[in-house]
Amino acid sequence: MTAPPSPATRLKNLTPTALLGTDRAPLATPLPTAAAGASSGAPQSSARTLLTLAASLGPRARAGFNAPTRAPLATEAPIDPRPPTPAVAAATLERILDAPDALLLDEWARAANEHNQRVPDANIPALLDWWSRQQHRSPAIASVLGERARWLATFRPEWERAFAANTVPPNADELWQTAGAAQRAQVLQTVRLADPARGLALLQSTWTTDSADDRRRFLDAIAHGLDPSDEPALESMLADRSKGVRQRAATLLAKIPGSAYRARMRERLAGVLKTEQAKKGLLRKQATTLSLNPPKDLDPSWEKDAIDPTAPHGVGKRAWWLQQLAASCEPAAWQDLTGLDAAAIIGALKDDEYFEDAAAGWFRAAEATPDPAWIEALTALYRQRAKRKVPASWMSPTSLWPLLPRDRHESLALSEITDTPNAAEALTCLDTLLAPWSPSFSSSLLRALVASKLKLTTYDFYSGAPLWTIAARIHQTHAAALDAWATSAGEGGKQDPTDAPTRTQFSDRLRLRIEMHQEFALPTP
Amino acid sequence: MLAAMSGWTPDRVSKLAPDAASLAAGQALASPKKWTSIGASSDADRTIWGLCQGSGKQPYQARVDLGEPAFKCSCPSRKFPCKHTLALLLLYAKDPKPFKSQAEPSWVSDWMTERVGRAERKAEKAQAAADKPIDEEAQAKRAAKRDDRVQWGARECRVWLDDLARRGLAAARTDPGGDWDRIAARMIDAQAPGLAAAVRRIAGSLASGDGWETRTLDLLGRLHLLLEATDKLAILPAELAIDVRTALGYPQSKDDALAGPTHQDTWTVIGQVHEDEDRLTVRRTWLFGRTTARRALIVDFAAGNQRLEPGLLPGTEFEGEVVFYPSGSPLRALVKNRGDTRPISMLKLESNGTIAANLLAYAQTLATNLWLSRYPFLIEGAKLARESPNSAASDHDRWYLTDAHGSALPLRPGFAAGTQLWKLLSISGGRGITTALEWDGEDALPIAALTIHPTTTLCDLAPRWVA
Repeated sequence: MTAPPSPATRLKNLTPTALLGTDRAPLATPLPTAAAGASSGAPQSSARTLLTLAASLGPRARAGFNAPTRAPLATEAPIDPRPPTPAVAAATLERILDAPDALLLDEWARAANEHNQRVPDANIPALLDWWSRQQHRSPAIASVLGERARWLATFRPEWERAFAANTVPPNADELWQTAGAAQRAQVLQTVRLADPARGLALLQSTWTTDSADDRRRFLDAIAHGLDPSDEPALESMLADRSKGVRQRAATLLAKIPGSAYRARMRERLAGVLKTEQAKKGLLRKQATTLSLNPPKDLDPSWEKDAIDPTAPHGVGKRAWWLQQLAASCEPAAWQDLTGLDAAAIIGALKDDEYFEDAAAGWFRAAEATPDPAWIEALTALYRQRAKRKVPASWMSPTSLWPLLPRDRHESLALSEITDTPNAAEALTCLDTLLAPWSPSFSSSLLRALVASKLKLTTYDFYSGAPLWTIAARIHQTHAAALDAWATSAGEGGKQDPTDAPTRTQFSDRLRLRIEMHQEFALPTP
Repeated sequence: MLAAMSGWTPDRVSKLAPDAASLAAGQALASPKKWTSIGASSDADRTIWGLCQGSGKQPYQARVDLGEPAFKCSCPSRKFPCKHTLALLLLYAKDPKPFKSQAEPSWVSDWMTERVGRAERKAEKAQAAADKPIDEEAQAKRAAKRDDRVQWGARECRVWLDDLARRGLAAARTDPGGDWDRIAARMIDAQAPGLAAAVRRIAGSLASGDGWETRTLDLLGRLHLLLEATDKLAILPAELAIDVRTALGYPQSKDDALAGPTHQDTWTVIGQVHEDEDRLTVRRTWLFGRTTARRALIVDFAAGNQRLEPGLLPGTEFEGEVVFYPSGSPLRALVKNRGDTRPISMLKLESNGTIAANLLAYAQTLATNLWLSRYPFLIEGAKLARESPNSAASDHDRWYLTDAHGSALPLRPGFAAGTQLWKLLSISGGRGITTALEWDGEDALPIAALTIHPTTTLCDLAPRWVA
């Protein structure tokens, strides 16, 4: 004898009737009078029978719920030995996540890391979710999220992908063959970081069939981890059909120490840069004089090394070739050829006809092959010329500063602000100085601001203004002093009735940062 | 630390906020800088107060009675508690040290006296009302009139339900919604809000996704049963009649509850759910008695723009007396006396926190009250389980809560689709965790989970502000 169907099954079996309605699908089986209830006597309509059956089966199905058997998740989160942040700090985290601000979240995570604390378990999903959706994922946040977040991510593909972004996907070769250009570039980049040779091989495997745009994009993706083994392939790309690809290949070759390309460029430079020893001046001091003599006609071999023969409108041919040559030579080549350091080379050439063109190249060369001495010397040169007029072909050196050690970057930024008549404008140079700022730089900057006698107006308090950058990045120990200064400097300026809310936001931001740092030190109850 | 002693944590304070915006505003004001003068009563844990400069000329006078808690502020905000009082309490929860003990200023002590006075007057009034000879005749007349209307409404509902069964759910589903609203409104006219809610629930169930047919048929059956019972109300046993009247939407009498036996225990607030029901905010607070293992449900309502008084906070416990509204299976309750509230210290479950034991308790309760809509479960060592979609019918993972025996309760799809599932997964880390949930006979809505490391903490899982 088989078991009678459960109430839940019987209820479910009634649904076709309920869907169609008893007018169209009358119930065949009459109800035994006992179940029909007290409305005996009159024959039950089919609709009533359906409802009575549902009324009797429903509660029985609910009461007789048969719990299924399921295997719990197979893995457990690893134990994170770090203590969780105090509840107050977690509450602040939640508040920041209500209107997420990348800088604040990064600062929160760094502070937690400094205290060796982790995100409380209950707060992990919200922070993890935000972090996983960012293009630039802060490593400080990944660290404060810890192992539990990685474990959580195994249950959600979009979170897992965020953690896997810097690891080579197992099906990298397949993706390289089949995916779209953007994803291929990303795959190439991760492969290249993990195994440079495999990255290059991947790039070459489809080189002949990829479009010029893709080839250019993929060359950018292998810019990391360049070494002499990449040279043969890059050399062959100097003969590429596309000008853009040829120029990218040349840029990469210029970055490889000891490359044949570098040697060729150095040789060309030697032909252009004339060095003479002469006794000069009243004291007949031995001095080196330099001069530049770019070629009158372009040797075809230059063009093969991706030197563009056609000058833009308004630039002389020879000047244009020299600019490109200077940009393609590593700065050290100039020192090797002359025996002079960066500042001396600049000094010796400053009256040369082609000086501005050589300098235009130097800015680019210092960017391609970061060289602190050259960046400092070029900064000094730029500042000197800023008093008159800077040639349009020169780059602003502030974009080179991030290539310097942080303390040098901070000190250049500080001198930019203290040595200028227009401090308000100079403050924009702080854009490239990313958080966190050192306490000593923060205090020097504050002194400089006080000394600047700046008068602040409403606009200075808007987010995006330099003052806001300072408020967001200044070391928290100087945040209160900044607020105090901003208040006094604002009162000297024009009072604007619309000023108040932005000023309040400015102060609130500083206060939030100060308190945020204190909260990690609070004892956990 | 004093804050730990007084039991106020920022987390606990934040749960008192009427909405997210007030909380954010309160947090922004929770800085000593924003306050010109703050203090605490020399009688520890009685009151705190402070002056906060707002946009007006006079600073706002914010004061908090820490016992209840109760709030009062001179600001014009209609939010309650307002951002100033919230900020004051947050500040106190973060660090009570700046609150120097001193005599209460008059604007604080007067308020306290007034509140005590008001409570006394209320008691007097209640006493007076009790002493007043009741016009039994008029009362009976009113009651009879309502009974007539309800019976009349039930008959109209009966015609509508029969018609629905004859036409079929498929046809009803493609109908424009007008008829549902009309019949629900008729039931309100008939003073049978329980019937109106049943009609609305059927309408909502038609679009409730997977398995809606069975779910809706079950709801038709429930309504049918209620209508049959209404028809026979006069001849039903007393306790059953009470549950039928409750299901119909007759108000439950506080006096009847207070007249019943009191239950003294250490009551733990194991969870709270807010729900919006047709211009009404309903707050369900679940209590669990430590020694009696009794479950109690406190229901609070706020209509329209009315505000819910801050009440019991999940994750706290108190010594106190609870009384139950009469029912075949008493569940809805009132807190008659409440001692000091403190953060949860421990949660001892009855010998058996298994799914089977909880299902049995549910079945027994359902057997005495067929209109029981939800019941609280406490599952010990609960772990999550996931079932990947294996058919084309659904493309979502199905999540379950399992106990040590491998039994599993399906989680409500809405819970599994939201952020709360991830919170539960994160705090459990895949290990067993005591979990409180609402069970409706079909699926489970986790409302809180209890972590014991590093301290015993109840983690609130029910969304605090529901749309």
